[in-house]
Amino acid sequence: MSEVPGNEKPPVFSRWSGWYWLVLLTMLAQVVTYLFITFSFQ
Amino acid sequence: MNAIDWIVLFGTLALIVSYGVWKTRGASNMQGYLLGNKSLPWWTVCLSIMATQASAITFLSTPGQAYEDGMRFLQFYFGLPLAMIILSITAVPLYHKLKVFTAYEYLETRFDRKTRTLAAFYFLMLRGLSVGITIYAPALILSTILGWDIHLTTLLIGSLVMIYTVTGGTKAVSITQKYQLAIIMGGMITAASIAFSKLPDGVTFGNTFQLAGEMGKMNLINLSFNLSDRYNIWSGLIGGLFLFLSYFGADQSQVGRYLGGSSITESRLGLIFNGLLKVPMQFIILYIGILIFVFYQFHQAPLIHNQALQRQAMSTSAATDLTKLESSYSVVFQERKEIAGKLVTAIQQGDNPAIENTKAALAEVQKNEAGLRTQAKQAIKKALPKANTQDKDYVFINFVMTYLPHGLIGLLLAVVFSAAMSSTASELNALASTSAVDIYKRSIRPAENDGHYVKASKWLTAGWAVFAMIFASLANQAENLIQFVNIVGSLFYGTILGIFLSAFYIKYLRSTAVFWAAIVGEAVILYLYFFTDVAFLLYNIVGCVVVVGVAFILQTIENKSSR
Repeated sequence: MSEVPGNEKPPVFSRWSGWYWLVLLTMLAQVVTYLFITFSFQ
Repeated sequence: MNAIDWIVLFGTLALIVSYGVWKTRGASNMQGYLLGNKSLPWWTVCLSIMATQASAITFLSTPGQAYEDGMRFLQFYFGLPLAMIILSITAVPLYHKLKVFTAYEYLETRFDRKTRTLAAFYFLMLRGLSVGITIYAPALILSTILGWDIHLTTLLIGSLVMIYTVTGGTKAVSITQKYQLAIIMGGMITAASIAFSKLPDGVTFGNTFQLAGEMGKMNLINLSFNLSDRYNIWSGLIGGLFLFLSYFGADQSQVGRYLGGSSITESRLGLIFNGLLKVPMQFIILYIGILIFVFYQFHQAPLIHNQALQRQAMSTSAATDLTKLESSYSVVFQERKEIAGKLVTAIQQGDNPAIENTKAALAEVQKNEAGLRTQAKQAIKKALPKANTQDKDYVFINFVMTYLPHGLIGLLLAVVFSAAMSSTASELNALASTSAVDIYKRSIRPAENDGHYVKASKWLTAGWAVFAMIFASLANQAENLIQFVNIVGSLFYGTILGIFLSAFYIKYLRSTAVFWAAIVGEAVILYLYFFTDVAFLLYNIVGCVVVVGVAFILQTIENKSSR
């Protein structure tokens, strides 16, 4: 089967956005909260 | 169930189905039918993504999981927000820019037809198998609860979904999911409120955490690293990240949801908000299981949560044993209720020695209770050898049927049906898109007009729906339904992810190397599944690493031999 040459240009990805910080910080806050719950209520 | 419940149940289902059909009538081209004309705002995309992932199994099985095993299942979702960010940066702009109908279409522009077809084939295998389970799981539980034949509940769920998915395509799937998710969350929160309101006076919200915590249920995070442990923070973050990258980046049932977004920004925001909301939503669903657990410290839980099975067993030789066990169980419950009350008082007074004493006493009583339940299950198994005595999936629905007022029972059953319909609809739509675009249009009838492909897509949607209903009717019971679905997903996701990661990020790799690496990767995963006890979440990493690693080796050999 013949091979089609791939897309030579690298894909155009989006830039980093403030939304991503929000997701990361929310997740971090949740993990801290869950750790607190785990170790407080046992 | 009384007349009000039936009216609420069928009224809700009929409204959703009719609205979906009416609102999306007349889609006549592929862009309209498979991508909803790319017209959806971010919040519809987000709700559609969430409703697709949250199947009926999620709502039936997850509270039961928390009831028996605590909250640790939550860690499974920790990799999801990270996956949302990565996909928002990479996959979303790429798919939008290339104007693809399916994720696999992109693979032909990057590699070639055979790699696209292989990835589409893997997807059809995994989704084709799991769509049957998506219908079967709630159909089984509803048939048990309602006393209906399982074929009837299967047919009801399958045909209701088929009506609006066939007529309205992607747009019908997305707009009905908004309302289905609203009903689902409303119903779950109502059930939780009722469980809480029925706790003894003076037991606060905080006390439910403390009581459950003292009894080992608030095990939200496990920091130990263990490859064969299904749920710890590392398997959740690493294995979960890979699983969700595959699921949201390369599974058409999710890619199809955000491809319907009206712009890159709308699609991306849909994923971002899913990343923000998914873990808290799972926390709430698990916490409902904890509330039911606390509730049953003060109200007698059934000996077997699958009450229909217990009733059936009462007409067999197990009846005498079960009657004796039931009366011992009542005695043990009275003892437990008293100790649980003392524990709450000790917690409220901050009396640590009393907490430790009552905790030890409660653990002893719980052990006796678990022993009685095991004996009851053994007695049932002896009398009815084919019966499945695993009753975790019945904890929540049995609570609903026993303790919720009429009207709300109908609403909660509508929740289960809605959840089953919303995820099944996305899966059928994705199976139809992939078979129509990546197989039928690409390899069987490439030169037809748009109307022909719309008609073919409709027939394929109906065909997959019929297949799913037949599969659901023939399916055997898995030990725990939600885990079975996750295992089926993990069997293929790692390999598919390996193909997509190679396509997105590794320019060095070409089609033939990736194609053969994907076949080797799948063989390795199947070996792990059948011959080892490696935790299934790790299959995603292993599959992905093997595909990329083998592709590198093959590409290097190919490059050297062509010099």
